[in-house]
Amino acid sequence: MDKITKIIVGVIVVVVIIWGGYALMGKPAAGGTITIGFVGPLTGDAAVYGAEEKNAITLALKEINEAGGINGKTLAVVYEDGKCAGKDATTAAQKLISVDKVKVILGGTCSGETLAIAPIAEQNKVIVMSAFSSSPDITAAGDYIFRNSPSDLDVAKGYANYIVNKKGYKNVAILSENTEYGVGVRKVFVDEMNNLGGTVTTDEMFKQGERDFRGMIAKIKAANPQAVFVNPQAGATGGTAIKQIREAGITAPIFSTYTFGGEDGIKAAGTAANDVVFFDVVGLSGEKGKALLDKYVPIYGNIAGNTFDVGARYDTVFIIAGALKQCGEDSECMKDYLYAMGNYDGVLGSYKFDANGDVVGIEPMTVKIIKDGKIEELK
Amino acid sequence: MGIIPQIIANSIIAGAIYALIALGFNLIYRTTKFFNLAHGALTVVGGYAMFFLYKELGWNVYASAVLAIVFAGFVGYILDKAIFRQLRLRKASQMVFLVASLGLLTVIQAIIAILFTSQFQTLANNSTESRVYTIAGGIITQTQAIILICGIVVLALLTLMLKKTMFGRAVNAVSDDEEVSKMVGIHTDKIIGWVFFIGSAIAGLSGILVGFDTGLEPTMGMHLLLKGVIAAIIGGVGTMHGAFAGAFLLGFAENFGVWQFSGEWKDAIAFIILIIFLLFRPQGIFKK
Repeated sequence: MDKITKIIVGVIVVVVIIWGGYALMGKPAAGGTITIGFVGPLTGDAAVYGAEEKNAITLALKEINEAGGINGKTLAVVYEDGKCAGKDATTAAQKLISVDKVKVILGGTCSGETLAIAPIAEQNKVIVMSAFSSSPDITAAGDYIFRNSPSDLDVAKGYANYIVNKKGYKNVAILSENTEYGVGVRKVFVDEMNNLGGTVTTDEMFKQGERDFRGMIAKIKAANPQAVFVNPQAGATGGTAIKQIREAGITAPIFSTYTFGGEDGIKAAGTAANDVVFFDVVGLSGEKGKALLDKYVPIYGNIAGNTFDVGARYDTVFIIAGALKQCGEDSECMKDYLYAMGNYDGVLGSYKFDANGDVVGIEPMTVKIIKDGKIEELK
Repeated sequence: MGIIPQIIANSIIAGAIYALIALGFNLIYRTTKFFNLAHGALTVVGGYAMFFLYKELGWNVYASAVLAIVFAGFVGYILDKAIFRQLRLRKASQMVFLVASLGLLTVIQAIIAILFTSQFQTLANNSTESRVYTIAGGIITQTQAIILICGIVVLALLTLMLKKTMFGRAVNAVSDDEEVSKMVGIHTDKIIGWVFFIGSAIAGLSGILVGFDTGLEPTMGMHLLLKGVIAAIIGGVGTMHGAFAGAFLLGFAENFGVWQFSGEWKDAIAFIILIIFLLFRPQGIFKK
């Protein structure tokens, strides 16, 4: 053997020993560990959400494993960076599925990630559990695709439901800004109003950035609705519309969305903002939610991304742990378990999944009211 | 209660705002014969000058308004002296004037956005409710009543000035023929400078009123200007009462259109009317 051959053989021996040792040491551990994957933005602009989901998972894992893990096995998560982009999420998911052999992916965070992962996951029968993707397209993304983030569509249904069922206003006028968001919310809202037996008395749309709503408001007034739903893209349009609604002498209650409920909107509306009820995104205001925040904040600091996201992600780890306890790593069984599991009592509230894997039961919004220019939560 | 009185009231309010823009625009147009797009920017200048004095410095509303209007007029005057006069001396084409004024519109809006941010602002004192009047079943706010009164007063004053004063006759002479006016001894540059001052001051007043009624944005000038120009064209470019009539026709058409069709159609209706006039009555309602 010459020198080079010796080196090559030496390297091979070392590699085999290390590999063998790793395999031997790893094996008993693998027997006691269930590994699942995570895909979310860990770098880039959206990294704040990915990082906070990771924190939430770390917290949940610790609690699950301290309480005995999954039937005695330790639950572990491999984190991959989806960069809030479909392409990177696809690579990450493929790595998790083929290399780490995971049966569950917690993710994605961005809708684009979740939608990109969905077909690969479907093909490999891997459960995808998103906590923050709200795109309506995810509803039909596949059987293995779940989320506890309400769809944008459900949120708008919630608006109609609140106004009709909770408040008892059957005749409602809607004034929408003609943007993709505004039109989407309007469509769902109007459909849901009709489903609930309500009547949309006036359905007006204005062009983006409009400042003169008086013609539309005159029509709204003539139809004499019990309530007006203002559906703007931004605070300036929403606030100006609300101001003009009150100036026109309409005294019916006004409802709006979080797109209105900011500083701009309240400034534009002035005194007309008083008593306007608007639907904000849901937070962690429940008892369990607050308990989570008490655990989270001392370790990771204040939530800079989104409190809902942290809570939703935290819950998903427990939901998946429940499925794993029931089914082991049989993903088909897990899928059926998730569809049939009934209500889960988590930090977001009590909810379950519908036949599309979308969440049911989460109040998709926090209802807030403006009093003297200040925003208060409405109980 | 019927909807018609309110639609009429809305039409009158919209018409009054368009009229104010159209009157100032028309005054400058008939004298200088070019489409001064920077006129839109002067509404923004007036509105934000008012915002600065009244809201940020906390001055008295009347003092602020007077100063803001004078300031807008002064900016218009400076624009004429610094830019348009130079172009006139060089015998620049209409196109050059148009492009220069478009550039000024953009620059002024950008400066305002830098100074005051692009955020939506309002001049109205929003801590108290606005006073509202009901006239024959239509509701108008105090601000809107003031807009309407301002529109009528400005029209009356302009008409009086143009018909009865020496200055007005000189303006008419310059409008008819600048060269001849010069020959007969009219100091045309001075006259045009004053016309810019007055026209821009009216624009400033419109900006202030709009700021009270709906709110201020640095980019609102273009939108207001377009409506003012449409009103001026359909009313008959160059005539004061034409601009006034055109503005109200536009206001009525838009509001009745919104009533009959939908809110999104408002701007489309304005331009459809413009096209109809350009095709069938290009001289406008009143021929000069």
